[in-house]
Amino acid sequence: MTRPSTERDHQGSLRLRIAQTAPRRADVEANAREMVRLLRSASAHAVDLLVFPELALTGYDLGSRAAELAIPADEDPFGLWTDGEDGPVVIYGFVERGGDHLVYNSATVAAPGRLLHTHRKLHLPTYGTFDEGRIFAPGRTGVGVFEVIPGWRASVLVCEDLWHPPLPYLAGLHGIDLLVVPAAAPGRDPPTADAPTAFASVDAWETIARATAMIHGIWLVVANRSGVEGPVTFAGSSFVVAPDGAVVHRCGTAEETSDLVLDRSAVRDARATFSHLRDAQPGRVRTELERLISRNRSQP
Amino acid sequence: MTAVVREALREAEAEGVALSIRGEAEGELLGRWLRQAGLEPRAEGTAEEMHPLAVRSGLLVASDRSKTALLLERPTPLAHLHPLGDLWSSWIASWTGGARLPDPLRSLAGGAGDIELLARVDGTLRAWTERRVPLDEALARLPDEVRRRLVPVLRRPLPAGRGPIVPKLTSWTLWTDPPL
Repeated sequence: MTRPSTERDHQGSLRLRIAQTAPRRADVEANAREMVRLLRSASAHAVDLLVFPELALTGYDLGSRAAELAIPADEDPFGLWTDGEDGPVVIYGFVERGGDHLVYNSATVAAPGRLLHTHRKLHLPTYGTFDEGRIFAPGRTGVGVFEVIPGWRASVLVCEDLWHPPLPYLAGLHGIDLLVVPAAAPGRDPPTADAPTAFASVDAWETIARATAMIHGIWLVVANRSGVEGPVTFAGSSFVVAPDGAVVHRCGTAEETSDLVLDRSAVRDARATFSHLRDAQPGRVRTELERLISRNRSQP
Repeated sequence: MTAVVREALREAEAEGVALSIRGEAEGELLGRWLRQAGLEPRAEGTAEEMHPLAVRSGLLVASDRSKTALLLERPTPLAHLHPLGDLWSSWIASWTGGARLPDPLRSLAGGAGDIELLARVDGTLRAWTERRVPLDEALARLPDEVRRRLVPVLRRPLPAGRGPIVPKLTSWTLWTDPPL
């Protein structure tokens, strides 16, 4: 039997579950059924935060079908927000139909029965095999912060967003403890002696995530999808980075769920060691950005 | 690779795979991988034999062409799938002890020299496709006779657009990534 999150004696810990699913392209009903099943399991095991990958509800390579699969952010037609009164906070990717009628690659953050936050992916990869800029509108609502359980503040970025340092910087300035990154990253290049993870491309992800976690003194979770769509094999290989930059957990390449307990004191310890957050100078960054933007405008 | 084949069969509602092979290391490797994954081919033969059979029988044709072969041999054979199509011949040779020299090069080497030649040719092709080295500059690294045979092939437009499925492993994949 579970107790409501507010009543659990967390003692600074957060029980995380990564649901590394393999969504079926455009099969929302099947994907939602699997997600509900995993949500119920997480609830039964007193998980505080359940994280699904990018576009977990719809699959990734949607092309022109994205618009027909879009739903408003404040609707929960598949019952993913509710599992009694004491289920976990759940984060999952979906295609959002905005109030402006545009279609976004978004991530929902929902507590039982209520929406906490929606993040719209800002940086849409449109190179190589990626075509998101032709399908989705870029998010313009910035980086938000929400409380997962008492004492744990978090932000969400989606996949490519993590590869643009200003976004984790903005999240970090809010003093978050945790950054969650649902992703749909393909696996590329076989492993090498220098890059021994399942796909060599995973090492680039881990490098960026480790640096981000260290710089901002935060827990960082990358929840990547597995499975195949067309020619693309998704890497799976979800992982968790501690605030000191150590990779403390890695998933395999196939579908799996993974549980981990995150300790908030690790955030305190990391920020005692490094003073990057204390020494951040957002005002100076703004001044320099304004100068750069102004100069670019004035050039022919 | 086999996951991509399995998903392709599911999406196409196909009955199975017909292997289009040329009877060398690549074909043996492809057959072995498919069987290990529980995807026993329903038929095996040349491309000319397999394609009409596949149409009649609801199968998908999977060819044993490597990435090297797809780039250097034109026209590309009829196939729904090229499961080895993002793997370089030199990689296959290192796993199996040998690989088929692409048609433009078949008379140039023999025996152990094949593997070394494949490695050099694949190095050139990788520089061109993955590191975007200009083609002339990449080819300049090859012996004259090899370069002379490859230039006419590589100057022709590459296959492009939505085409056969090639499981993506490298940074530039035929029919998946934009043309060079």
